[in-house]
Amino acid sequence: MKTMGLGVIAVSFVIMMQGCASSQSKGQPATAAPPQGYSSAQHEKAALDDMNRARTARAGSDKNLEILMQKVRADKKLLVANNMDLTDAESRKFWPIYDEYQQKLQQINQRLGSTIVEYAEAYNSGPLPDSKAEKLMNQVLDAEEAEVKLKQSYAEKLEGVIPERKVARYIQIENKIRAAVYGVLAEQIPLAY
Amino acid sequence: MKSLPILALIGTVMFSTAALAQTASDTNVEILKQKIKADKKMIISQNMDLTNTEAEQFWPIYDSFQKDLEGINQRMVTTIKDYANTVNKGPIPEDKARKLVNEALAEEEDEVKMKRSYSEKLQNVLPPPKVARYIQMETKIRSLLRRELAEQIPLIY
Repeated sequence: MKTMGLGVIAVSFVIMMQGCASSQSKGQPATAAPPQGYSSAQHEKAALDDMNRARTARAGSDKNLEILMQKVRADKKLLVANNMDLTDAESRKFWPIYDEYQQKLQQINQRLGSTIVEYAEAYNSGPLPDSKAEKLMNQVLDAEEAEVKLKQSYAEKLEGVIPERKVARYIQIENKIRAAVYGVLAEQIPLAY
Repeated sequence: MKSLPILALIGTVMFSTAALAQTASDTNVEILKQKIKADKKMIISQNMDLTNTEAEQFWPIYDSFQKDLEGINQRMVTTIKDYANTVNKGPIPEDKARKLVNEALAEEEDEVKMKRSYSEKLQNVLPPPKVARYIQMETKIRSLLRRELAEQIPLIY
């Protein structure tokens, strides 16, 4: 694979997602970014620091966020284009399906983003209540399941229009990018307590 | 969380060993697998803070989940082996490419469904924050493994 720093895409994606989600929760107190693996002793102070950092970060304008999102989308598209070796005829059929798929993935990203923000808020305000823990876990499992189903349905759509081995390659690329994103998320989000 | 990267590394080694180096003896592979299982269980145990009553109910469900996940691992190893053999013989035939994609997607779907069904079983026996924490750890470990696999397996051409 012609490399283009999957890690960079993943990190920008995560920043973007947190941005997205926090801009949805307007009118609420400052939203903290998920804190990173504290021991319970450090928890309180670290959470406060995080909230302060998040307040500063939210001062960043929506315009910057929009530019970042455009950049991430363009980088991903370029990475896919560089690796697909599509003929003109294949391109005409592939890209509209790709764009539609990215739009649906974006909806899943936003669901994950709001779940992460909801978790960060709950995490910072003390022990996780039972009902909240159950709700958040189900939201994550729902999003994961929706993503797998979406991937299956778009693999089927592509199977009709480009050669099978190119479908397989595209799914591999998509998997690599999503695995990098999920890896960063798993590292950044602290365990529930 | 303690020592996850090491576990993931071992997991990857296990997969590569099983899938590619077929010369390795069955005994060594078996020993390695046992070691990985024990390491994973220890990490979970250290992070769960279970009471005795909770532990009695949690571990049998955990073991049954691990056994089912092992079934998915076996399917993944078979798919990867199949892919490696095909790649080594030249351009991939269309029907083979389709079969490999479908298998990989089916394994992923089954794993997500399995995780949901075990999280439901656990909700009957543990407080929800502990179920959530366990699912987070399981997701971390599996996502590290999948990320390693995605990095190691070359794109289809």
